[in-house]
Amino acid sequence: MIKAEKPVHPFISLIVSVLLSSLGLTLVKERFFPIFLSSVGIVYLLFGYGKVMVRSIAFLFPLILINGLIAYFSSGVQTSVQTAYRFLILGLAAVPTISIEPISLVRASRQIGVPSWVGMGLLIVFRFFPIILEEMKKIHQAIKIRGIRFFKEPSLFTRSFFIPLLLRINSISENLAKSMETRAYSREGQASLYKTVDFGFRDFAFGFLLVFIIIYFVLQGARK
Amino acid sequence: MKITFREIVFLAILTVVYLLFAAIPVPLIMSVRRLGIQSLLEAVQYGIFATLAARRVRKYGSISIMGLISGLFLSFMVPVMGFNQIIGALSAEIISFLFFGSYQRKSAISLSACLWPVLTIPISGIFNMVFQDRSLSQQIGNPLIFIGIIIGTLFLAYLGSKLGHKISDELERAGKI
Repeated sequence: MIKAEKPVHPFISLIVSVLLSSLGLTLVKERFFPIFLSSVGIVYLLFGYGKVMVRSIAFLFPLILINGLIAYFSSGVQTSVQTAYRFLILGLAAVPTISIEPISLVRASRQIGVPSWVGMGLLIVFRFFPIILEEMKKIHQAIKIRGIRFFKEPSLFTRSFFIPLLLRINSISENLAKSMETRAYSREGQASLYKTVDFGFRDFAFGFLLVFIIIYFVLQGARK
Repeated sequence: MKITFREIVFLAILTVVYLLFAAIPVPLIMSVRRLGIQSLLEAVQYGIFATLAARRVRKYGSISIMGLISGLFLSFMVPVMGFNQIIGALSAEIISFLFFGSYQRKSAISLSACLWPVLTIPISGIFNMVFQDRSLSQQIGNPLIFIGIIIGTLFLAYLGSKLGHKISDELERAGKI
């Protein structure tokens, strides 16, 4: 997750992201596409998503460059530009969703009756990336010290990597489950919400502006 | 049989490992536009981790839970990919259930693991048709190559599943699953 100044309601973010990544892609061949991108960019800037937008595009920049060049040499300038547009719109579509705070998505989901285990699973995924990466690094180092190389002994390498990793996952999940149980977490029964995530005027304005822009440009494209 | 809370925690953590491995070919995947290549490049990962999940939690729903959690996570970046994951995993398990009825046999697990990557292909195709204005024939190109991609995906997922079974067998012998 990349922190935006003040992220909007998670559901609005998801809806906008889905609309942008799906309907936005239908517009890449249109001449007005740069205007469409700029309009979306301006709305993001107005709502404090500037930093996230820059980071998202910077992350995709190598891909835009490589694929743009491949398309340029294989099919010419127009295809190359359209390829770059495709990546740009995907990068822009991801901006609201990568700024969602996982906990607010979980809370908002609980408010509309989504089972708590779904949110819990999602939170585990967000929180455990660094932990699992660290475990994987440790196991890899241990394998290297013992002189096992993937290209020399792939079977032995795979065995020496996956088995300790799964044993660690097993023990981490057991410990996590136990610690959650001691905090009275269970799949059954009702649980109260510590905080609620409510819709505000800002959320409505963000959603309305972006949906309006998307629909306006899609209609412009359809009119042609 | 209901999947317990402890099993969900295990599946969620296994999903993290799966996502880390699935991220390896992503730069390549994003640059390829031929239908099915994405699934082909991810097939081994699907095979290994779906098998590991179903061997540890031998209940229908285990792979779908993995699909749901990974799908929700991926939908933060590319919503369509998330949708793909969820529908693919769910349909693979439904087909496997219709054939076998339980995960007691290894072949039932392998079937789900092999079908999951293949069943994400139709959804990608529909998405490209609707939103990228690319006809099915444009996406498929040479039908023989497309059939080759599907067979290749099934084969790689099967190899992954074999590896998953091998690892699970060792863990079973050690009394860890």
